Amino acid sequence: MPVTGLYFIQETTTPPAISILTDRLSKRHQPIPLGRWTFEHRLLRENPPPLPTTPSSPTSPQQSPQQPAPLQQHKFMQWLDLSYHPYMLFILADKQIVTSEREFELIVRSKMASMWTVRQTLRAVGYGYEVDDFRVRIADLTQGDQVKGVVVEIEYTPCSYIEQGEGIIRDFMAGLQPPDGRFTFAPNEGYESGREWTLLDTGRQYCEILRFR
Amino acid sequence: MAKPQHVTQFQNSHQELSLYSHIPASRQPPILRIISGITGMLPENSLHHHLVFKPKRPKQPGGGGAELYYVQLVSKVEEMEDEKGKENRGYELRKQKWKMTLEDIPEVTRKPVTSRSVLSSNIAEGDAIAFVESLGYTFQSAYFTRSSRLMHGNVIIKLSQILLPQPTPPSSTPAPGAVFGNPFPTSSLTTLDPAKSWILKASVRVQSNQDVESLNTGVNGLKGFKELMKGMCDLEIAERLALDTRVR
Repeated sequence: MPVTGLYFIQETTTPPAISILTDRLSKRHQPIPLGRWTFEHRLLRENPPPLPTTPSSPTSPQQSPQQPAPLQQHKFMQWLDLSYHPYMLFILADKQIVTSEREFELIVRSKMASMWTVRQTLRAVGYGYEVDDFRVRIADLTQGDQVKGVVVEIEYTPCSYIEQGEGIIRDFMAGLQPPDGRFTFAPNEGYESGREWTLLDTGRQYCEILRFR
Repeated sequence: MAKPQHVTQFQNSHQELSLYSHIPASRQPPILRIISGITGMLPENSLHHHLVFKPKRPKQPGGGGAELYYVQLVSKVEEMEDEKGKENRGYELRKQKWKMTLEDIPEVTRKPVTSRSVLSSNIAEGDAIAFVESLGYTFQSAYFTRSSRLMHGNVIIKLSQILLPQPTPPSSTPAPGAVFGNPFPTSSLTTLDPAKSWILKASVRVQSNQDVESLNTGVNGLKGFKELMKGMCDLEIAERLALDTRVR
C-alpha cells in the first residue's frame, strides 16, 4: 500500500480551506479529477455493564450503596466507511483495527446493541485529484449541520514505507501553503521500522483524527 | 450519505431454513454416495476451525434488557500435503482468514423447518481474534468441523462431524495460542461424539425474512429433499433450544 498522510484543518478560514487548496492545486499542478469522494465515521461507546441488583454477588465484596462504582475507562469503537473502498468498513475497537465487510455493522446494530451505542456520526464530502505521483482527496467534515474542519488525504503512490514517504508527503503539502493544520502520521508508539505501509495504517490515522470532533 | 447503489449491502447474512438428521458412523459412507448420486456431484470436503467467544459482561439480572449472544470466528483450514504425503503442519492461527458469525436462536414458527437468522462478516485484514476480544468478548472454546458439502437445487446439503483438538497436557507449559487448538496433525483430532456419528443438515438460504415467496420456495425445496431421502434418513426440525446461542 502506498504511504498515505492525513492533514486536518480545524480552523475555519475565509475563503474556505477547501477552496484555497483546490485553487492552489489547479494553479500549481495539473490535477486530473478523480471525482467525488465521501466518508462516514461513527464513534460508538461501550455501554456500562448492568449493575448487579442483588448484593449477593460472590465475587464483589459488599459496597455501601452511596459509594459510586469505580469510574470505568470507557471503551470506544469506530467505524470508517471510505467511498473509494466500497466493500469494506474499517473498524477500530479499543486498540485493535481490522477491515471487515459492511455486514459487521448489521451484527453490532442488531445483536450487540446492548453493548455498544453510536455516539457520534461524522460525514465528509469532497473531490479527489491525481497529481503526478500523488492522489489528493479534500473534503469538508461535518457533524449534522456543523462544519468540523477539512480533511486532506495525500497518497504517495510509488512508496510503501513511512520512512521515505512521510517527508515527501509533508513537502508536497507545504508546497500548497495550506491553512494551519496537522498531520497524524505515526501513532504514539511509532511505527516498526522497515514495515510496509498497510491499509490498516491509513484507517488508523482516520480514526485518530476523527475520534473526538 | 448516499452509498453507491451497485454495492450489495449484505451478502453473507441471511435467513437460514434447515432440517437435520442424525447419521450413525456406519451409515455415513452409503448416504454420502446416495446423495452424491442424487445431486450428480462429488462432495466438496472441508475442515473448518471454530472459535467460540462469550460476552465478558454478565447478563442483565432478572431477565431484563437485551439478550447477549455467543459469537464465533470460523476459518477454513487448508489441508495441504507435501510430496511425501505428509500434512502441512505450519498452521498460523493469526494468519487464517476468519469470518465472524452470529447465529440467532431459531424463531418460534409454524413452518415445518427450523428458521434462524445467520449474520456474518468476513474479516479481511487485522488480528481477528484480538479484535473480537476487544469488542467485549472472551474466548470460550475451540472445535473443528469436518464436512462434505453438496448442492441439490437451492438446497445445501452438509454432512458434518464435530472434532475436538487434542487437549494440552496440563503439566507442560502450553505454546502461545495453544488454547485455540491446532488442526494438525488431523489424526490427533477426536470426534466429540464417541460413536463418531454425523449430522446431515439440509438448508436453504433466503436473503430476507420478509420475503414470503422465497421463504415458501425454500420450505418447499427442503420438503422435496426430505421426501427424496425418505427411507434413508429422517430429516427433522431441530429442537429450538438445542440451537440457542443466547448467553444464560
